Amino acid sequence: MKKELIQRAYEEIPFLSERLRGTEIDWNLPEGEFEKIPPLEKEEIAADVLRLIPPRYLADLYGGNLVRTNTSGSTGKCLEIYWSMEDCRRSLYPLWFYRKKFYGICTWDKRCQFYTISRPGPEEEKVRYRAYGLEFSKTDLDEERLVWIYKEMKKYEPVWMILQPCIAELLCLIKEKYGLPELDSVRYIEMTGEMLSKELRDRIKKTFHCTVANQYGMNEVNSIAYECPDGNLHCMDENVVVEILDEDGNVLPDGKEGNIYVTTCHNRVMPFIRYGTGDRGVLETTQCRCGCRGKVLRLLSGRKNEWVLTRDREKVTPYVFMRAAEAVNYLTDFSILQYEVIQRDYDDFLVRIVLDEPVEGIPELFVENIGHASLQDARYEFCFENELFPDETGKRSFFKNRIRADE
Amino acid sequence: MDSIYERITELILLNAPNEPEEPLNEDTRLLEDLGYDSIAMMSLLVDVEEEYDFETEDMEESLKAFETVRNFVEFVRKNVE
Repeated sequence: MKKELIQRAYEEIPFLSERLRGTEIDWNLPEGEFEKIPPLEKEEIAADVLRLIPPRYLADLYGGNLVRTNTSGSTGKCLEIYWSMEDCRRSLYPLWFYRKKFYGICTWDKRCQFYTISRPGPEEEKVRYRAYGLEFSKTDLDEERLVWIYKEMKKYEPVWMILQPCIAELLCLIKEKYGLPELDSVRYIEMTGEMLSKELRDRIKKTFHCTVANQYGMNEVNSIAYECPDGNLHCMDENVVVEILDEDGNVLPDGKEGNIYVTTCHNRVMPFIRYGTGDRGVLETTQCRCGCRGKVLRLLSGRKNEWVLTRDREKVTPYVFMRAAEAVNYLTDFSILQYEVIQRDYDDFLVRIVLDEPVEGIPELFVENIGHASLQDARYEFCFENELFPDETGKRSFFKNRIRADE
Repeated sequence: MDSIYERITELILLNAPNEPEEPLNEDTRLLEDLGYDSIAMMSLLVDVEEEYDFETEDMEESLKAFETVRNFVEFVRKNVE
């Protein structure tokens, strides 16, 4: 644990120190002391991320000297994230270290991956060429484009891929349906962003004949846990502290199911301390042959993906709506704080949105940026709300398909 | 300075994305002063592992090594001895 980072955050950031409400903390953090720090939820900072940034970094922020990403994301809650370049690289190092150690993957090995959006509008890139990577937009992932993507991958000969489970499923589907050739060069696929079922993992392995490993993380802190060759998802102790808390914020012992909270070891620009991921899991102490000392995290729920269904029964990834939310935020200075899309019928959707402040034309902007042309013609009802999560089901996905539930 | 120090600083400079503004010394920071990114970090790690025939098992130790030239030289020495 980075005690210095935590102490400094509470000394420098009024928003954090006020949350202590007079509780004295011994910043040497002897046993039991860390638990006195109140857990932090995304909702508390979503409307004003600046409140989590120490004043000494504001000049860098306004000068454009920080790394900016955002979570728009699979939990339906939007947040701007800032890092210093150096801290971000420190934070990513453990993952690279273990990729190399476990699977022989290095930073210069060619990879393929997908991105939600780069820059909305007519100039939006559908494919990006990087020094060691080929990246595809998740926009318009219909069969024709997926076949094209697959063929581009074949030509590029990647050593590995980073895929969300729903994208991997689409690639399996397209390979089987069109009898596409093997991607012989691929020897490792890293799954991230959503829950990975055993069935899908087996299908991916069978389709691509390579090693599959799961990586669990979020942009706020980068990698949280990584799967070793023995199949255990180890916490990245060098990057985050992982805790399981109950609904009242009490720490649960190993083996007990609860909400996953993380504390960054590296992000000094936005020191996420005891921060709720919105996912649920269990920590387990296991002696693993891989040599990793980190506890094993068993994910129980969270970002499970459902499909958008069209009337002709085409399965469309819900990322088409995430793209719409990201585009709206790109064009309106991050006005959407939370969103949720509910498919009520094949061409009927309810879109629930929490805005930072009223902005005109959000429904039109949202619909025209949905990343699937045929879905732009469906009927959309927009409801602007004050709060969305957690809902009555406890489910935290940004998309819900009610068609299947009713059938 | 001994030959290990000289060789390692040579490798640090070879892999550095940025030219140092001042001559390299023990306090030079790899990330802040030399612009080390993920590719450079892994490349330097692989270079020293191959040249000095070791494979580091300790993630935390290797992460600390990338803070300064001094740390990195010490890290290699420890793994070679």
